[in-house]
Amino acid sequence: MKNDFPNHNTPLPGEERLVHAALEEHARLGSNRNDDALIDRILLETVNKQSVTEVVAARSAAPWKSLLIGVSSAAAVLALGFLLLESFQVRDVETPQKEVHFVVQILEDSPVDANASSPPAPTVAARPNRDRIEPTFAKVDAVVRPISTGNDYFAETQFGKSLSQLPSQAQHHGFLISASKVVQTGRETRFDGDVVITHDTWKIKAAGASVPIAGKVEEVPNVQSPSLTAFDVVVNQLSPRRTVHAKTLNFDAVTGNLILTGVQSISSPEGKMTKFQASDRLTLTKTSYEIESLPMERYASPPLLTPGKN
Amino acid sequence: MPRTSIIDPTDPEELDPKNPEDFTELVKLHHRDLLVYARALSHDSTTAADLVQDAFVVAFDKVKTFDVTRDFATWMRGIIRNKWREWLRKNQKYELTDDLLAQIDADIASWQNQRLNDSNSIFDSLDQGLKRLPDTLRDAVIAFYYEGRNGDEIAEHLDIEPAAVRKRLQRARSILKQFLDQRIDSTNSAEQES
Repeated sequence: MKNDFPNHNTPLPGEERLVHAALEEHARLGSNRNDDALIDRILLETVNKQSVTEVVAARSAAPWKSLLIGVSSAAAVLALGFLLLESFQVRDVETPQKEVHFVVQILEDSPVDANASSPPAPTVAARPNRDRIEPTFAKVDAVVRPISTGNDYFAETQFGKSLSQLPSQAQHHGFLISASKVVQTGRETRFDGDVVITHDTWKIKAAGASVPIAGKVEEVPNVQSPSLTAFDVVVNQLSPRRTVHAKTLNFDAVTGNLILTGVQSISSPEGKMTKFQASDRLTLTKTSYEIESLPMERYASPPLLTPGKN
Repeated sequence: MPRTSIIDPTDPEELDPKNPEDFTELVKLHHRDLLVYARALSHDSTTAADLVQDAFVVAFDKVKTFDVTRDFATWMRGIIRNKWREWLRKNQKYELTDDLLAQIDADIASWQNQRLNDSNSIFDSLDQGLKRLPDTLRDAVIAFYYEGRNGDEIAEHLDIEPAAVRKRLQRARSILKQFLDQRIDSTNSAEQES
């Protein structure tokens, strides 16, 4: 929080304002990075909007053509109908119609047996959700290529053709990982002890972490599994400033979000939250966070009690 | 770490904003400088991003009226200024004097021109300036801007009074400004000699 320093109420002198703004921007994105989110928004409103409008305009021409054809066809059918009707009228005069007889039968009331047992009432009650919420990951038309080289770990996500409307067809996420001990086991690299994971948005301290090994993991379409996991984590985010303590962390390479479970606390400029259920799940994005809790156990209706059976 | 680099076109002055591909390149080339400019005017990061986005949308809509003999960055700064004035009217924020506005505009224009001359962005120059700051000032800058600490936290961290923190930040900004101005002067001199 920069509450008692340069702000709206105490603007800086002119010669410092630009340097102040440049320092804030430099701290946010460094020297050589683009603000991809802003660029995407601008292009969607400008260059890409034009192409969308063209497509819509091309498509919107089709209904007018269809309407014109439809009206012409209807007119032709009506004209044909009139011609046929005239020919039928001529035939009506020549051939008399046959008589048709209807019989209406009224049924008597059938007796009702008052002693007969009624069918059992439905006994299916709402099944409460007793299951623990587990992290779920976006299943989309995408391929994630995990690459780990030494302490660098990259996850490149390439979206498929069905998501071609997205402004960017690829995402790149990079992590720099340091730890006291690094072990390669089968298909993954495991980091143990004083693990520090640095990402563009987050700095994560963890007791342990693991990532897939380069070349060991195939390019998996429709990815559903996390590409980085860690436990006993402290996640720090600079802008907006947040700190999260949690038991487990999973990085979803498709959405680019952190999914945390066993959350102990989250601190943000709005305050600190500490009362979490063990099953709560927190999704941390670059700009926001979302907490998903286990629903309360509620019955849609009380279980049916049948006398003599309970 | 994979990073999207700001494009480095061979001659950005040849980019024609009327061409959609060139317009895209111009967005990538100028958006961060313009963010700094909009931040300096509005003192708010979210507002700055909105101003830059709105300005590019206006520029695209009116691109046919753009005079190709003019500088695109200057045109964009003019649109951002107008957008910022609209925002000021709606939000009743503080006003900048015309002199101050002209000074900010001149400074950012110099920085943008410098990048065209030696391919160094304002942020590259800031990197170098930060390295040359005295440790006491640099510690305060890092804590405030890069670690997001507030005045009291920095004072406790550096074991000094909050007023001293404020003074150090002010001094650091002043030195950085001088450093950036000197770099622009030296670049201009070198260009004239060549």
